[in-house]
Amino acid sequence: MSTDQKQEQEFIQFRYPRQVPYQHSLGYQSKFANGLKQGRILATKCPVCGRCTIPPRIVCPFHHVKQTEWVDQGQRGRLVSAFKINFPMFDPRTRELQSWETPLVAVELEGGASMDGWCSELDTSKLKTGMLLEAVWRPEEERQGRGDDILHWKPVEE
Amino acid sequence: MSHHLPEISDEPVIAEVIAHTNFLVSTGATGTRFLKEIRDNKKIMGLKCPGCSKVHVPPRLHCPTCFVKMTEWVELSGKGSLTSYTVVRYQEPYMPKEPPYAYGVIQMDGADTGLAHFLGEVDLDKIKIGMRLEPVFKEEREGSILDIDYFKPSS
Repeated sequence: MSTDQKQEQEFIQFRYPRQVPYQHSLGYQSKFANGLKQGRILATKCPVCGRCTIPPRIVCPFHHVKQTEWVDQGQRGRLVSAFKINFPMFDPRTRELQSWETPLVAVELEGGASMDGWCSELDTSKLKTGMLLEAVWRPEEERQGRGDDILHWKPVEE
Repeated sequence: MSHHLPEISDEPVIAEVIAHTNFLVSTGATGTRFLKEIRDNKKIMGLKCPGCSKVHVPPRLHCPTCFVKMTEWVELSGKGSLTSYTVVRYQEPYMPKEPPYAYGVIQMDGADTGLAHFLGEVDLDKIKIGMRLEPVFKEEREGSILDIDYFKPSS
């Protein structure tokens, strides 16, 4: 088949635009979500190794025992790592373009657990491992018990 | 740090998420040929396997039993028999019709597989497996399996 004939060949295709509404219970993680609504970060703690986990989980992945204790992780933490994504990405929940100016950071909280978030300092050369960061929250009335209730992490002077 | 803070509720939280998708699906060379014949000629075509001689409607490129490529197109009358059906009596988003309506699997004369489609012009309480059916084509056809409006009972 010549190139011209190939171009003439019709292929039928169709589009499936869908907006699928899901509702699901957060189950055991509900307490974590309720904490976020009140501007607090809670983690589960393993009774054997004392490791704190965010997002919380019922069973410690290392010791296979039930984690019944919830520990408040405070509002501050140390920077573990930071990186920037150099291409546009969409938030699948909102379909909005995420800023790729904003670095992503991993933070080790005062309570011992680690979590990810955005950083308010856009210049990655100013971000140093071990520096102190503080959570900046969405206004309370806008919080929905989701990870993005924390808008970003802000470097603080020591 | 944690001792003087008030207790956080463990009241269950329901998360609500809307997943947006926008898939673009190609029907491929085989599907396109099938849909074009329906759109342009009101003809229902199947593909015959050179190995087991089964005629597949809707057509597929390879026989699922013999794993060989099928190239022999067979024209069918469109008339066939009902092998299975279900009546939908509830509403959900993206349903193609207002309930109540019926889906059927129609095995066409000369075909060895069934085609799923709507049943129309039929009393939903009087659908019987084995009943004879024929396709009703839409006036305006656009290259979709819905160019067949539904299958109706034939005499």
